[in-house]
Amino acid sequence: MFSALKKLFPARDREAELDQHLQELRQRLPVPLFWLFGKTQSGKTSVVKYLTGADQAEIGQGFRPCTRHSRLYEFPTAEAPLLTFLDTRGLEEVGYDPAEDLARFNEQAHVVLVTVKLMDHAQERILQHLRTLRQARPERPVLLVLTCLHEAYPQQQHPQPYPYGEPGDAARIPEAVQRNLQAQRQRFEGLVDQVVAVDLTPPEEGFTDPVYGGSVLKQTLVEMLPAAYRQTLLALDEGMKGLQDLYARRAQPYIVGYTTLAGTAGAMPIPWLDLLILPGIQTRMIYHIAELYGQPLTPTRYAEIVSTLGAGILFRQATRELLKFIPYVGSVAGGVLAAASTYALGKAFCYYYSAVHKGHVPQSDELRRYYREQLEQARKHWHQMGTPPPGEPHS
Amino acid sequence: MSRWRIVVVVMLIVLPVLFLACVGSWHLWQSGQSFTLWWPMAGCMMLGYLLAWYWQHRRELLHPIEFTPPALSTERDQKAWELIAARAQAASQLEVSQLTSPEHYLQTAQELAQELAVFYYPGSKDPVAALTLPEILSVIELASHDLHEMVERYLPGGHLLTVQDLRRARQATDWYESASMVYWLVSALISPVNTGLRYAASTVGLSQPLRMLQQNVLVWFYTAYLQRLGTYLIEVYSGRLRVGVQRYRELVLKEAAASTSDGVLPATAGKETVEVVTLALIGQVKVGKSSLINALLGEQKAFTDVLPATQGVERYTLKPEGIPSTLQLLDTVGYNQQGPSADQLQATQEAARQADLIFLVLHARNPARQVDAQVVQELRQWFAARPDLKMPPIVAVVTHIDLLTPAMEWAPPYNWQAPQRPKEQHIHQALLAVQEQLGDYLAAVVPACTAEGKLFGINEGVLPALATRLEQVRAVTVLRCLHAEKDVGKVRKVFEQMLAVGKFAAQTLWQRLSANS
Repeated sequence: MFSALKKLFPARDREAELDQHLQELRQRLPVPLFWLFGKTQSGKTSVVKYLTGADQAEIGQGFRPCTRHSRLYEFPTAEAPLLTFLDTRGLEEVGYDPAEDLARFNEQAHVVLVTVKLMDHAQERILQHLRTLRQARPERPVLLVLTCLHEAYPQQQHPQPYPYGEPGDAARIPEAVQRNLQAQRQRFEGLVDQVVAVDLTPPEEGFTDPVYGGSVLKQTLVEMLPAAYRQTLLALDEGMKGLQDLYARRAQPYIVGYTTLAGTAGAMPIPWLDLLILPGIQTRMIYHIAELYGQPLTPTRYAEIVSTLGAGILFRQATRELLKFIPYVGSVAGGVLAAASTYALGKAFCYYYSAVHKGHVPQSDELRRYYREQLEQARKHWHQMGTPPPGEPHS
Repeated sequence: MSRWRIVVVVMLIVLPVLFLACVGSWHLWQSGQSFTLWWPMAGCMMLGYLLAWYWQHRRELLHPIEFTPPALSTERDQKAWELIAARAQAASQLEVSQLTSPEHYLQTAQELAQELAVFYYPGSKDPVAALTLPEILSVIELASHDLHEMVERYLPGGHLLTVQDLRRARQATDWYESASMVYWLVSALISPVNTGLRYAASTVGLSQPLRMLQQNVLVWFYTAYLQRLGTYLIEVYSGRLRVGVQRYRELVLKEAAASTSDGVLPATAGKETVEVVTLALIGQVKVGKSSLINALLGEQKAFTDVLPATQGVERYTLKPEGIPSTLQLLDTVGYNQQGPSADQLQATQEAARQADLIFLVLHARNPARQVDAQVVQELRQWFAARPDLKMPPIVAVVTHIDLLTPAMEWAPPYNWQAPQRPKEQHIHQALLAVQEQLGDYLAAVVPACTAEGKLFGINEGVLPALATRLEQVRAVTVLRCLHAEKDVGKVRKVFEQMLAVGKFAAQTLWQRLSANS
């Protein structure tokens, strides 16, 4: 028992080794990087909030300065990121030069998201820097997101249904919006590939539809991303569907993030690598989930739950490593297994904690049954489409 | 009259009184009433002494001379004022003999002129040399005129005061002391105990306030002299007197009289003020400058649209109630867009430089204001390079407050100073944000909604902010007028003089020619 625990909670030098492995793994992760480009209060945070489901404070803390003028937000954690947002803060400063940011992120940034308030025509500096950005990599898609539509029709609700998608609906667009839309389109002509009009408002503003145009924005973004990177966004989106419980919603991105990491580790054609680092990845995921649920994780409880879920984990992993000796097929199968077991473990912990929140500790066979279910589903999905399955509505 | 004759005259006048005093005191002592009557008399003297001491101490007997720079001062002038104030501080250390000698006053004037000249033209070898004769005469004329009025107004009997009087004041105090000594000796003979007590009280008391009074009058006059002289020396060095005394009086003194009702200067001129105050509205594109103008005018005069509409500088005139001036409004083209040409932006800056007050219009929901900071910074630099002009105060008007959270609500009036409702709190926050970003440059920050049918903040915030700054605004206007006129006048005068000389030369030439032929 003691030796098993030791393995699950590696010593400090093992932590360092794990960190190094994770660092290498992250290079291979298909994490989309969105370059946010827009003035203060033009709706950048609202877009991030909508795409991730994180709250304002979380996003605010998540952004870390990376260059002199920009900051980076790796969602949900820097360790197992799903989406990355680059925000250029210094954009409006007098001496801003995008060269430094370009040198660092030109290759990595997949999509440029230009946020502009519909009624804000003071865009001289944005245009100037956007031109530089566009020239640096002309094939990279640029999406113009026009925000704060309601400023054109103050104290009125948004026209429903959303009329900015289909050309036939243009007649229902308010005249002031239409003309500003036209002016902004002209202004950004040749600098952006697509234009989306949204109005993402906090509930206290009093709009009946607080995510006006959000689904169009997400759909457009998915289409703009390179195929390999679409998965992450879709996987996150899929996983969030039907999740009502606030805690479960917050835990989901972590689970998907670590699952992707585990999947990538498992898919590496190096035998025994994932056996070494998979427990580390899973422990860290559990640690995060426990933190989200506000439940301190002690080694005893961890061991309790893991042993409940099945003593066969290590055994199964050992057989999986044998598969890797058969090249290609083996590594894919290994990847699927690693991902599925991580996903199922994460979901099982969520299940456990939400039961604890409701005041009862689940029976071991109940927990085991849930874990098996999740594992089976995850394996099927991961195998078929490389995405984790939709989350269970449990609240 | 020689000294002994004066003594004889005084003795002849005073002796009967003294005799009466002695007899009266004797009688009172005899009849035993001296004790009951002594107390009211002693009380009167005590009160007089206390009041004299208090008023001297508080300097309330004479109107204090203030050394706060007038509203018209630029930053450079304010520094010059500090030099003059320092001199005035040192005045209390001066001897009576210095304060009464005309030479000392002349010397002070020369020193002060030199000191200020060096301050205004640092590095120049002979700074005073650049002054024209009429300018120097203007200083003397204006300062003398003011001093005359001040003395007449504030110094009791000042119009009869001679230099001789001032000098004799000193001797008079000595005489008073000798005379009172005689009095004490006489009364001591009659009532030794009482007199001894009163004498002690009196030595501590009366002669001291008298001496202070004399010194005070002299120092007051000297300080007033310094203040007036300094005022006009500053005016001459900053070039404002170049327009001539006549025009200067018209423009500046009228203003000063109108704005400082209880100042040192008497309000001789009428209540006329500078009639037109120019107000420039600047701001980023589409923040609502033209809408604010329409809101101020109360009618749709400036063309507004959902898209940028103003192309150059437009002028409008307004006569708001409660403000004793006509406002000239300059609507400018918004900056930070790619549309307007360099000429148009130049025109915007020019409008801001000509203005007496600037409304910096800001969008409540667009907090990207680095561009505004940059524009205002440039304006400040422009004025810093012209120390004889005063930068107009800038009032920030935060527009579109109807769009603030909660966006669906519009139920004015909103009390943003003491915010209660969510919208009021958001307005308050928006103003605080502006204060934080641009506070260094701003005289005030007020909110407004200028959307049609939702007008709010014009009468509640914008106009009061304007009215309370009118005095400052007038100063800017007057300085601008003087600055604009002084050089025009100089050229014209030179031209006229040349013409006169030319006429004379032509006449002489003509006479010579006709004589020769």
